[in-house]
Amino acid sequence: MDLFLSGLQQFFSLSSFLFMNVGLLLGLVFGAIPGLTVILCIVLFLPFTYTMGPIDSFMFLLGIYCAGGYGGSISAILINTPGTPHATATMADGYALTKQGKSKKALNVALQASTFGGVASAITLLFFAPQVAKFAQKMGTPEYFLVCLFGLTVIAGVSSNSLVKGMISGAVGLFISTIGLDPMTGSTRFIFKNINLYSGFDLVICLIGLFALSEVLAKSKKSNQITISSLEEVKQEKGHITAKEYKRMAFPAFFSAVVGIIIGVIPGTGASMASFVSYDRVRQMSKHKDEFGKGSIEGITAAETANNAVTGATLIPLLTMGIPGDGVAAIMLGALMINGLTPGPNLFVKHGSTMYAIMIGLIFVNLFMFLQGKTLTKYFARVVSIPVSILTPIIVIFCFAGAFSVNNSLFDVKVTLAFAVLAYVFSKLGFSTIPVLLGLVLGAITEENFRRSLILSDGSWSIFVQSPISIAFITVIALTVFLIVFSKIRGNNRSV
Amino acid sequence: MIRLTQLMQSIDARFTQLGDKLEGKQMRFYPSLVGPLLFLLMGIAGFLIMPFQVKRQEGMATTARTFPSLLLWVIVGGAILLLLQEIVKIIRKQPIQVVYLDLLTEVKAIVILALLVLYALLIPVLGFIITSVLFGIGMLVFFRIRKWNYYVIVVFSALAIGLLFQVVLNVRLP
Amino acid sequence: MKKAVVMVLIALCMMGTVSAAGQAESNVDSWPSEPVTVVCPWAVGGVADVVNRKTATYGMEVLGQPILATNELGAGGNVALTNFLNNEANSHNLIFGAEGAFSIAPNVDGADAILFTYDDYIPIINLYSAVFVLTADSSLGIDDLESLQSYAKNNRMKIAVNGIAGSEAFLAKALAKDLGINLELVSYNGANLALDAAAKGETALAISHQSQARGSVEAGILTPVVVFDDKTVNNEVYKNIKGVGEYGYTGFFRNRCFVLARKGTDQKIIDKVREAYMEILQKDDVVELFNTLMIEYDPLSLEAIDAHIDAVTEIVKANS
Repeated sequence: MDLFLSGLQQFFSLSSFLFMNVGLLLGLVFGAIPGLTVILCIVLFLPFTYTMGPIDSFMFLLGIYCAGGYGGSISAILINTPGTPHATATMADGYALTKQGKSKKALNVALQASTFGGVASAITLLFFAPQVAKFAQKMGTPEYFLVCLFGLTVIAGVSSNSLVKGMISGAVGLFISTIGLDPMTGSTRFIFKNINLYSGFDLVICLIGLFALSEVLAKSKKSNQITISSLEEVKQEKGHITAKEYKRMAFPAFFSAVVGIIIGVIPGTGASMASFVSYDRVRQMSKHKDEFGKGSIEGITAAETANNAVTGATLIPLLTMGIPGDGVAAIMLGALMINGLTPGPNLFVKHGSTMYAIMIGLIFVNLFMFLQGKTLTKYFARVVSIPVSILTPIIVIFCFAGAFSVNNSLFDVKVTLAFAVLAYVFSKLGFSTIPVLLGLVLGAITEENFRRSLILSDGSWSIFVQSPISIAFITVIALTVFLIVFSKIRGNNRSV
Repeated sequence: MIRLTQLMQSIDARFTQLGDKLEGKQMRFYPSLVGPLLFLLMGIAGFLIMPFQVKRQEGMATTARTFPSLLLWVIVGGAILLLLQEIVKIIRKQPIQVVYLDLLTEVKAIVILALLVLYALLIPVLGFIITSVLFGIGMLVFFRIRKWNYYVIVVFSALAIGLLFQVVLNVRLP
Repeated sequence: MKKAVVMVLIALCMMGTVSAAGQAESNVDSWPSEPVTVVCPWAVGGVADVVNRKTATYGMEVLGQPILATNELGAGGNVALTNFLNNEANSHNLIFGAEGAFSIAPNVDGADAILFTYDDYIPIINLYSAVFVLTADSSLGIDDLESLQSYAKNNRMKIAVNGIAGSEAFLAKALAKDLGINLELVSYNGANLALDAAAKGETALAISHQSQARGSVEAGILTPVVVFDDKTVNNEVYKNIKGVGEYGYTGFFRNRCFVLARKGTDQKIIDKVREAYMEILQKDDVVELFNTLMIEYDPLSLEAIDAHIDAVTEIVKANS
């Protein structure tokens, strides 16, 4: 309790609030603009934190991290282009609402869901970090693999028209993720003696090509060139959420917060997996299944709650064990080390009040995110009234600048173009690109954990059923697969 | 100046002519056949290049080839399954999916792609900012915008983005 | 009219060449005439990046020009090192490099994609060195090489390493060979996950930098066994941990980060930068940062740097 109070005291300073809000604004902007990503934002602004103290620098970084979680949904909702990989799950329903002239409502749902997920996650971090960490320590390589496998079942959910097509798309994504050095044996795969392919493709680079630039190519179609609404129409829409709608959002929000927190604890997975898994599960359980993909508020709630629920949970393995769960957490690890804070079980003993300050701060970060989002939503919403002919070239320029800046590499710019062509061809052939993205997200960690498990067990498959957690995961996966096959058969019978 | 406007107008007229010619022209396209065929070929190509691109390893439960091979089988298997479905339909004389591709739309997509490729290739030659400005203008011409203020906005934005990255964010743009 | 234009053009060209030649002359003495860019080919937020950013803040003070610290990622640093070849001698661009790029990459799978060699660069200074440490799951009771050796006689042992072709992997192989024991390598994506594996008991051992294992060692989850150096390490975390060299083995090396210039760069420039960095590395807050990150400043002569690369290459070749 003493630590809690002194942490509170340490946190309450003008500079904490200042840096938090600067971070939030940057995260919001970088998340929202296609081509600019959260990780890019952190990479570009990290040097500024080298001279700050631990609390200020963490408030700044957490601000970017959390606001990025929401920001990505803004462009997904407004212009059908996800600003971050995890906003892809929000895109279908969000953009559908925009087309119905309800963009402000979609933005509000996303913001409130994000805030709820973020706060839930921050509270978990503050009060249950030791328990969650203990649970996380019980999970090892085989459990990680099973979680990834479960993630792959989502492919069935996002391939609406044909399961086989979805599987092909997913396999293409997974296959692309094998390009580069094989993580387990170090041998090269499909690099064609090109040094740039050595470490494979960066997810954000693929995202820019698959969704942002391909959307630009789709502008060749006349019907895509029309501006959605006029400024007057945008101003008129209030975006109010009714009590009935709140009722429908409640279950998806709670459920997705839990999913987000669990997935956030597992290293290597992250927000994209959380949002897709929650979206898919919530859709399965919803009474309004047909609405999904056509502007479902439940869908937006599920995806957005989950991806922000990851933020606090990721900090648990980071702070207690020094394990960075995703790229952003890895950078935060650096920020801790510079300030002489060594993550590990002793971190809370040695630097208790600083840790409490950071954890309390995370709750405030989310609250301020809500305030900033609320204020800015009405301005963001005006984007839909900007003429397509102006918006398109500007997006491309951002995409190119962003793709270049991630690794300072022109090769990456060409990679985005290749992915744009891929996405265009896919759409012409009636294949969805979302499974490709899922494959890219899950490919490396699925393969790695699978093969590592077998190395650890000297080739014995029994390693996958050795712990109660594994058995629980296997049961869930089996049930999911059964449900998919069952609903497929029923669907076929109905159509015949 | 006058000659330039005349030139622009004549180019513009050419585009209109070309557009009119292509307008309404359609191409019959069978995505349910072409798609699986393409993936089948892709899968086979993957298997063919595997020996040259991934070393053979022995004495392990899983090797560097295990996963890529498995995925290629999924692609090939899925493609064959889809093809069989279509063949059955053809044999049973059931209609198969036909899509009419708008020729104009496809040509435009290729033009946009060409602009993007040109943009990427010219960056190392002209530098990021100049290329971006040219690309912005190119896109507006493509959209056949005549309002000069659109050009001002886009050119200004291109400059602003370039400077933002270079000066504010310290990115070493080419 | 045409003639006049041609004449002017020729004149301009000549002036251009003359001034270019003049520039080359004065280049060396007036270097740096513009900001110096130092490229870190590894991740933002990593040790090398932090050191780069920190030292860069003294650029104006010691070089008279700002140092711009940047990152260029890909292929474990090899993309940046490849692209760096586009620089000419005496350029204002410098780059970091380590044994991973020059001793390991050319001798493992994928070497045919590496288009550079160590000879394309000139080392200026070794900025820092870090000593690797072998840690064991505390419940196994392994705390030195003897106990490791006897444990390994009766048990199959797995060791977690960061990447199958990284420095840690070769240190593990060399140690196993020296001790005559069998260690099965398990590759993890990052040193933190490798350490976590040992902490959970998935593997018995892990190799990492001292700073990375610090948290688990302080908490008593992992026990340090030996450091990969020629002498004992004794600090607040690692108390009297013997070096592999003291047991009489030779299969060890430190991780060293160098500042490199393009081949052919004038000795005067090399010396200028070297002196500048030596001055920066004495600054109080830089010294403090090195302590925090558990890295050392141990200046080597340029010959010793070459020898380091050769020595690591030998170890890698012997264990590939």
